[in-house]
Amino acid sequence: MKYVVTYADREISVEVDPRDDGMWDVTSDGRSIVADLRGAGGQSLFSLLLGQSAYEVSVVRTDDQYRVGLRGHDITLTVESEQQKNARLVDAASGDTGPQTVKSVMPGRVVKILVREGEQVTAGTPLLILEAMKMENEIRSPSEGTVTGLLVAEGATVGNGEPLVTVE
Amino acid sequence: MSDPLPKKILVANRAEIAVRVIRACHELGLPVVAVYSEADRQGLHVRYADEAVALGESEPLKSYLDQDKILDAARRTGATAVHPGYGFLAENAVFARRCADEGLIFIGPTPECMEAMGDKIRARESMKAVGVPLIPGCEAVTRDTLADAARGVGYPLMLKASAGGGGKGIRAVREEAELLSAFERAEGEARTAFGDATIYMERLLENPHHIEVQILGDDHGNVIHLFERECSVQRRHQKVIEEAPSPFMTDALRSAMGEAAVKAARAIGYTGAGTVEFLVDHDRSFYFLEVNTRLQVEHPITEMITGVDLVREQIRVASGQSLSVTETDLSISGHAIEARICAEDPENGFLPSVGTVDALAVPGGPGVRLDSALYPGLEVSLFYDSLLAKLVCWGRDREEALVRMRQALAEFRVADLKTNIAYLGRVLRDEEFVAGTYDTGILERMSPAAPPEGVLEAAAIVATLVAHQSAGERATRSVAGAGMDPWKLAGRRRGVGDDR
Repeated sequence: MKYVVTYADREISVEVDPRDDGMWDVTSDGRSIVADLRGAGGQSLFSLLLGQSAYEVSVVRTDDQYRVGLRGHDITLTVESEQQKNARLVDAASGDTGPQTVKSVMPGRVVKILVREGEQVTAGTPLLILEAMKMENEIRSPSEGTVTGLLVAEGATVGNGEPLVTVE
Repeated sequence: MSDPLPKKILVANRAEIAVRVIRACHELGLPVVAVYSEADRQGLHVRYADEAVALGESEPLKSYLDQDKILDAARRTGATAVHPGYGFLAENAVFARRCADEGLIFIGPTPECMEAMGDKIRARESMKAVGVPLIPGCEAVTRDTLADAARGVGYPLMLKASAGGGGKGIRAVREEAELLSAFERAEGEARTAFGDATIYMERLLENPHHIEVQILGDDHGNVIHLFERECSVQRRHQKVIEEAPSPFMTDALRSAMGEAAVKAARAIGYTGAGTVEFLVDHDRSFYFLEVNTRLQVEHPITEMITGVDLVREQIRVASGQSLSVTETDLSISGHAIEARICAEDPENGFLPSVGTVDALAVPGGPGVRLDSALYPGLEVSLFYDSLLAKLVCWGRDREEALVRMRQALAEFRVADLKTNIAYLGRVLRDEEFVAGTYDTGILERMSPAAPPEGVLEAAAIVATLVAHQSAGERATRSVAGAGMDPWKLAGRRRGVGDDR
């Protein structure tokens, strides 16, 4: 089956097919190799042999992203099958970027809200201050747009994953 | 005839530092009482202790900061001394006094010392009196006096909590427009973290070196220093990597700073282990920053280059014995680096991460020391500090310590929690760090490092295989699962039954 792996602005095509011996035939950017992936503890630690190259690998999945740790590097990738990628490109071509909801990544308390509804923001504009673990953290806008919704009030306690601000 | 050591020591802390203290106690043949919150029932410090007393709810105020519960635990177990570790009650003069009132030895400096140094404005005054160089600045400022005081000190400047420490309640201000909001942030943090919102001001040195000197004092008038630690690798005033000796050091500067540190310690009658922190400018002028009246997080690198066990010295001194070493006994042997392994996400603004340690692979080999609270199954919560472990590597010289640290970081896996391990590895490969020419601006200047081609390809293949397998599982489940009890399915998915 064919997949497209994206790292920053780089795309790598990877095709994987199971073999009879439990290993995998892999073609990555046109190069073919046999991959042997074995669990090495828990659900997230693996031993990988690519031909004769050996790697200890951790894999953490969050939403549609994979954070892969190996040889002292943490590499964040997205993986899509070719169909998924094509479907996404069709959506993007229709020009609908839609609203983005900034969510809390940890439980904490909203100390201060720094933007008003209707305000124009750019990627990186501080939206609010969230206090967690005795530190005051600035939560920033992920993209350029207009603040269309303030979903929390100053002083509110928020949980992990709770929506905070909508930027459209 | 020397005073006897305590019969039993209660360690009023958790995680890696509690483990560290327990090791020293056991090496001295002393039994240990651990205390623990609900969240820490399975913690290593509970497992390594001889006795353990529950403190109750996980929130620090209801457990590790609850003085009544800790004193009660000491009474019930017959402990004769309390080691506070760092953080929590370590620099709390009220707690130290209450220990004394109960006839317990508090393993740390006197409450008077803590008060004199815990109040940073008072500390500045005592250092000025004995001629230790200070950063130009001024005492407490209020919302009203703020702007005038700032013009007097000059921009850029630092706002600091007088009750502060650990990088909290600190803000840099470059121009007047930022002053008020920075003041509010600093005040807010200071009030939450220390219950005291007093803020003072100091001139901001541009990317200085942060270098500190370890001191030890006893009741018999001995005060020594154990050389310096270079702590300039900082992010938002939180230390990330430390090394000893400092690659920026000269013999002349080392003896001048050592002398100043001893003078500072003598001025306040310091006993036990402490640290005098300095900022050092690029011309190698140095200025007093603060005294930390506790064991520092980064104390192991000093232990590695001097061979002195600082926790054992603390226990000796607190029992009335004299230090086991003199200044002339000491010399620097080799080089040590410490990396702080934290549950935080460098790709997401270093926000603290939570979760369960699913699988753990720890480094080893010559010169590798791991002070750790990690175990498979550990649930990392937001109740406590994000520090999980300290990885310390020693080598005969800096180069050897460096390559050992790189290797050790590459071996270290805490899956599947988001940690800063790979980020630490990047610092260890950074040109400035490798050259030893860095200052406190190093992390801001560090450029994102692209992984080597082969590593990227292997990562892409693993991610694809994992994605492919989980997509396959989902497809199988949706067919096989039709009409099945969803609870049973959930149980199968999570592997209930063989779950920890």
